[in-house]
Amino acid sequence: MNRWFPLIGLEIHAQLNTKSKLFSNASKKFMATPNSCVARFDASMPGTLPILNRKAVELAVATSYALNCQVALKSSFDRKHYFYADMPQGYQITQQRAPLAKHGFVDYLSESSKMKRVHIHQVQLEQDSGKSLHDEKEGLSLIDLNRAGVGLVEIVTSPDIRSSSDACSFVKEVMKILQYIGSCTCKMEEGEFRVDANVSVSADISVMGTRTEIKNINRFKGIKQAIDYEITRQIKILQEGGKVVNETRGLTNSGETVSMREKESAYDYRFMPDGNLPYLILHTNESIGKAQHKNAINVDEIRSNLPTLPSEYRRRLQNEYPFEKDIIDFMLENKMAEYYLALVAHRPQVDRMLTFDYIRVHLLPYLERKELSFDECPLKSNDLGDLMYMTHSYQIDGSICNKVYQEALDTNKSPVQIIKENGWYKISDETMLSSWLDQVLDEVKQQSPDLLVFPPKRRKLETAVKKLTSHVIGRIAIISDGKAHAKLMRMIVKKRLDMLIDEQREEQKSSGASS
Amino acid sequence: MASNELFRKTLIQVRELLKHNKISPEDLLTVCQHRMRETSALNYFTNAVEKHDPLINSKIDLPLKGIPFSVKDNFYTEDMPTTCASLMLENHIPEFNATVVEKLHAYGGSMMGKDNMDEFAMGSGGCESQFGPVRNPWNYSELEVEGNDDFYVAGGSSGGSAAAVAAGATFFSIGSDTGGSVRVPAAFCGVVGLKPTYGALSRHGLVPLCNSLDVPGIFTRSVADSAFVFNILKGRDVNDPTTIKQQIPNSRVKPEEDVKGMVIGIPKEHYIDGTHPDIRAAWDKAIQQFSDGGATVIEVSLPNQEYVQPCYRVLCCSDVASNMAKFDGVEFGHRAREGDFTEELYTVSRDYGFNEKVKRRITAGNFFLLEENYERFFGKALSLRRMIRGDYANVFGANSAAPSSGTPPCDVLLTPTTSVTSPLHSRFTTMSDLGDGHEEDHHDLAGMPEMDYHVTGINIAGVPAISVPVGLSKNQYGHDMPIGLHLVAWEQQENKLFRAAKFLEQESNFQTWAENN
Repeated sequence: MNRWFPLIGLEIHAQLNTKSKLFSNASKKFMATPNSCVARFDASMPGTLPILNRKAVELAVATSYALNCQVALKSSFDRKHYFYADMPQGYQITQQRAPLAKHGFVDYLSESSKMKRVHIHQVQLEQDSGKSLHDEKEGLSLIDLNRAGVGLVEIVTSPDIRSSSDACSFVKEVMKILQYIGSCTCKMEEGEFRVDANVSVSADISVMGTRTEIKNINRFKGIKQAIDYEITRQIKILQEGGKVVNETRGLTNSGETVSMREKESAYDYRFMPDGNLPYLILHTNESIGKAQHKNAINVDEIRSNLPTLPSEYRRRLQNEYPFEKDIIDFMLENKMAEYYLALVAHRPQVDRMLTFDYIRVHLLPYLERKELSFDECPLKSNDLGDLMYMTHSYQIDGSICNKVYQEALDTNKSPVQIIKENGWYKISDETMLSSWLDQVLDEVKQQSPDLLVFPPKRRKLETAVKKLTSHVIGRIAIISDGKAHAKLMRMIVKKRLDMLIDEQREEQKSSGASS
Repeated sequence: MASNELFRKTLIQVRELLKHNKISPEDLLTVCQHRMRETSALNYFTNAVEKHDPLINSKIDLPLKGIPFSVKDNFYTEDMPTTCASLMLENHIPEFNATVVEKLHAYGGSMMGKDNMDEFAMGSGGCESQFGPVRNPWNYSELEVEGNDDFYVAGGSSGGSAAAVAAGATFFSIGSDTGGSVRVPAAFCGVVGLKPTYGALSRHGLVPLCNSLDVPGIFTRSVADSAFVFNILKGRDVNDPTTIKQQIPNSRVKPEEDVKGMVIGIPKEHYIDGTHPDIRAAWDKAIQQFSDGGATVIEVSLPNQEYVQPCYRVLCCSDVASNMAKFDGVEFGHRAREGDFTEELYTVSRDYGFNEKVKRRITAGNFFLLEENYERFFGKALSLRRMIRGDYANVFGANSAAPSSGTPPCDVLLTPTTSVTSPLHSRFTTMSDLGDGHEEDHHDLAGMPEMDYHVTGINIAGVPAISVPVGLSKNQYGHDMPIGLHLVAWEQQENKLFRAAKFLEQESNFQTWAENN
């Protein structure tokens, strides 16, 4: 039985997070009324010209650097021709001959926690198409141009991926990168992020088989489905002695791929430079002074202003604590790493896992409800750090912690201030707590010594211990004026009572033996 | 002067009269409307404006207040049909104005109509219009008297723009020039035709032919008028990313210009067989006049001139194939009866909407752009374009990398605009058909050297040029037809162009058709 080696390359189309489209000032909104976000240029009104969106270029440059690419200081736009009802110009403006960036790579953690690398072949700017809606009943085709002309970055990888699970891990990493730098929100359900997968299998690891392209995968699960289905399908064909046809395929809702058209009969796109768009010239720190207009873009500035990327956060979190991969992924996906790392830097004494859990259970749902990022969180990382520290070091009661947290969010007061104002500081000094315990036990010995007699039967013993514990705790609360840290006190009482029980048992044993 | 003869004047002259309240904007409007009726047989408008801008009565002094003008029908005009003289756009009424139209309105100009043209600006005769051919005013009534239904062609593709100004229906008009489409009709109709530097005027709202070559052009009856309109229209437009970013200096034309110290280049490649002897003589005479006027006249070389036409055809047809793709009957253009399939809708709509010439260029363009052909055709054309532009940079001394050739850098170049004067329509159609059956296709793609040999290289180089009428040539039918000479300068040096053109104008003392009819 042959072993088969799959090889996968991806083309990712990510909508740039800009207010307007790539070449027009029409706004870019999901679910807007059909044809309500259409500028004259988007409708291909003759005589209208493309005006390149500066923000889109900046985001694409940032994306390219985040993907470790070399950014071209001079790139150009080409027209890709094909007739399609929802593409009003009869061509798509893209960057075929001289793309914005090339030769990058992305390192990602595979499911088996191995670091792997995918090479980025190129990154290019291009227009999205409109949408056709078919009304079967009326026999009508309707066209919505709201999406026509929205700016995309197309990220083309080398065929470096060997499995569907690696493809998913890689895509997740790319999504995180784009989200971290803010170039794309990556909501697949809103069509902001779409993937084409090129899949081939070969019996010889050094030879690439005939590939098929599965176009327009627009749900995350679809990536795995499409690749797995295609690998199985191709292996079956090859095992039966057949040949894989180089073709474009689509993914059905049930996760199967179906042929759309064969590549051999495919269209010649008749690429040509777009004469309406001057070269896209970018500048460096050295050349920016010579730029002829104030809108010139300095790529060095963009690169040096890149925010910390997920891979760097992953490294820092791993240095911080031996978290499991899932927890780090969770932190990265929810963009809490920055907040978390700042918190532990401020209060290194806090318990790492308890702090993560507190943020996950309390703060994250709160921010999601309020649609806030961690940056915008009203409770600053230092303040939550103080609260966590005071809680974990028994300076306040655990039950008070939530109260303080809630009040801090509601009032904008710092937790320290709230605790001070309410006098919620507890005494956690063990010597102090022990001396109170001594005092109360002395009292008991004198006033009701029968409480200190522990019956041998288990059930009776439990009842007796319970009774004594609540009596002791109650007395300490009175003596300490409520300042004893409840949980800590309970632990000390339990330890002492356990000791007393043990002592009593020893005495009974030795007296029984001597009698 | 009788106000009904105002149409004989130039823009600058009527502006003076308006300024001193000798005439009113209404006078001008009335005269031009009358003139339009008198000369309507020339067919220079596709659509005439019925209602006129109330701005002409405003108190504000605007540079073009009340001055009648017209615009080629491939410039977008709000609420007014913009047809490109094609069935494809026969009912197309834009909702906005092209930038140049917007500017002319803002400066108080009064639009009289949309100029007839070759369909989608493809043609050099002004004859390929769904509205019928434009007729050259020169000798039109003479032929009519002779009982001949023939006429002289206005030239193309901006034939209507040239004829309207020549006839005196408007004081200036706006055309578009991709490979000579302003200068050829200007020469044929005996008016001044300016093709500015690429990017000096906005293309926003101009239905494109070839994006990297198109430039709006200006027709006037004098050089000073041309400079006046150019100053108004030039400049950066945020809606056109290919407009020049730097400020272009205003061009001033003195009442009398001299050419002392100017260097006039005569490109030797422009001496070609088939040039009409009268045109050759007019050229020689102008050379003498420049020389006598104190200019240094030198022979220069544009060695890649022979590649201009092939380069132009490939660039132009490829852009046509691409730019015309939007006219598919879905968002834009004539829509045929609803086809059963989208593909069928495209085919039927496009087959009906485009004329043969447009279809041939689309087909050729798509052929040039096929993946297997791209390098052989489009790639080569791009290289040729750099070489041709390099020739002009060399003679104008703008190529800092090139070693000095020993000759001084030229200020302007001087050639004829066309090698022939305007042909009769009957003759023009056989010229373009050539009577060789299928050769028609070949001929269209090879161009018509009599008309475009001298002018097309200028678009490829992106530099400015102007055609100035300098005299008349009596043809074999005994008809006097105008001769145009062609001046070329380096990019953004329109001021040098106007200086030399003004000199030529005052030396030749040419009388426009409107002045005598």
